[in-house]
Amino acid sequence: MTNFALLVENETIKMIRRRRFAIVLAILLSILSVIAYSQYRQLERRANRDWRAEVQQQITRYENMLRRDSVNASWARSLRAEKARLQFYLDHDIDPERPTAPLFARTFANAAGFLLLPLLIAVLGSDIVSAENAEGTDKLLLTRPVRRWKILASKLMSLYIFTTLTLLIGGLLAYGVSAIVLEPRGWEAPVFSGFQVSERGNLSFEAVRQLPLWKDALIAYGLEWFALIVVASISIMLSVLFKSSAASIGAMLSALIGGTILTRISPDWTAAKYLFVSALPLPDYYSGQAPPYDGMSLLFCIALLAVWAVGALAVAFTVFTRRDVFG
Amino acid sequence: MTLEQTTLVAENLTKVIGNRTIVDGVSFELHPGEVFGFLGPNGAGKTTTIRMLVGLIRPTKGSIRICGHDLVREFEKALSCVGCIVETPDLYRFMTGRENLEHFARMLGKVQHEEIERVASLVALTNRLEDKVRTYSLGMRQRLGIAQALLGKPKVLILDEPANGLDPAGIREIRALLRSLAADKGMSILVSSHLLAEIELMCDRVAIIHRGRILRTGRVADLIAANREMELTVDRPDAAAELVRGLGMSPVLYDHTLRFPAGREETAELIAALTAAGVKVYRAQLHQRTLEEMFLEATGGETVL
Repeated sequence: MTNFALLVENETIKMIRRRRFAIVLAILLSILSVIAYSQYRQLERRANRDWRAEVQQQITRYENMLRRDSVNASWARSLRAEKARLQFYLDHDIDPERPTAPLFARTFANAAGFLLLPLLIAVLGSDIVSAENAEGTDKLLLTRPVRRWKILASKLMSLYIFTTLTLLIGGLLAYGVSAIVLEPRGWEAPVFSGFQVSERGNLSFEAVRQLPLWKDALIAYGLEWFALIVVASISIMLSVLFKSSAASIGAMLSALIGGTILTRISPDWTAAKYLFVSALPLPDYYSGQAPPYDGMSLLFCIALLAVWAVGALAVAFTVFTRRDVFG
Repeated sequence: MTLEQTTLVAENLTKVIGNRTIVDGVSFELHPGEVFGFLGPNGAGKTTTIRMLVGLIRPTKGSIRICGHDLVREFEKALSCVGCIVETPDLYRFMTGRENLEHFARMLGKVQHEEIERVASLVALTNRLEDKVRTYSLGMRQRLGIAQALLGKPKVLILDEPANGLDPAGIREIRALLRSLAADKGMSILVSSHLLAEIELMCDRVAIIHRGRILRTGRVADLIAANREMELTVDRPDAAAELVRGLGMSPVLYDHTLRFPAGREETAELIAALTAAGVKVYRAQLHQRTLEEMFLEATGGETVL
């Protein structure tokens, strides 16, 4: 009866007209510009430095830290992994930090995927329903001859579209902005990934693969896209549950930041591995960074995130289609 | 009445929240071409009832059929016959009037530009259509809300407090518009108000609602006719009362004043008869009880606003 594409068009127009997407792009552009500039300065200083000495120095620093008793178990684990990774690069005579635009764009998936991109998606998604409550327009939206689930589905679809665009434009901006100041070539450079920490804390090289950077970047962006779709699904649930946009954005922010703090403060409380924030930095885990808790393989993280997304959507649709709309 | 066509039938609508019954067994029906008034003080349950009619609130008990479609089972079919404004006419303030109309037209299937021009000109908003809604006055938003409700030519129009925020000229225009929509297009229009004068001028029938119940339903004209009284001040009230009783009416006496229900013609005849019988008539006045007085009587004198 009603055309679903037209509903998505409505939601897309509202998203653009509320300037949410413009704000997100402006934030991305300004942050990326600052980081690209800092990379450029770093490059200038690195020009006459010996990277092998630096990597060796970094390894020694990790070793010293590991000798101290104050290092807790999970931190020690990731220190050991990082140390072994650097050693690997050193052995193969590859400068792990030579900044190029492709490398910068690749790193963006990890660096931004941890907090920045989820926050931006929360800004996009958290008021997609609650703004209609706050502005009183829900009374019109829900009295049109369209079933409520279709309305929420159109909002969700529009949010997924903007989530994809945010990541895509973020990646392109990262490459575009950094290409101005850094070497724009280098998509073919080899990347090593798949370092695994064995049970005894040693780094296992069995699963290490060598990939061209572009392939590695595609995988990392794919994983980040999946993580962001999950964030979008959770933020639409918060948007349904909270009446005010500020409350739903706030809830999302505290979940993201609180979850991160939790893994730092109480690494022994392993039940926290079932929180979605623990599994969120998929590109990090893919690149070889050790997850904060035992038993968190990449597959476990993906499955966990999928369960969270499905659960959040189930709550969102159930509440949205059943609730009474009072003034 | 039962043979007449109905566009909306509400049966035994009840809404219970916690242990409070907000709407209690409300039943009424709308016919094509009539303006039906929902009259009651704030908090009487008018808005809750309207929210149930348009699917915002699920009734605890009772059923709603619109154009023959059950609101719960055939939600889309039922609501495609309805245009409404619930409480305040909130539209998207960051979009223009035209973009708002296009938004809601898309929800009905497709945007037809002639349709948007048509509804905009009906509410005299054509020349402000390109402005953002945030620059509109409350009256203009009210008119844009009505324009939105008229998209898709609904058979039933439900307007909550349509006179809110309008100046007297605006109210007159809207009243004329609603009357003509009912008369010319055969629409059923449900209007709620706490302003009695408004209902009296706009509606054919009225339901008086108080504490979640409908106290009475009737034609506005009948209610008015039933509440017309003659007041006579005479020198010999007993003799006059005798004469009035002789004409089949039962007067109430206060000192030298008689009060009894009567029309204009009967009154003229009666005065002639009194004069002929030598009773002096000092004062004769036709007294019309306003809807407000009836309402106060019906609701036990509680404040209306």
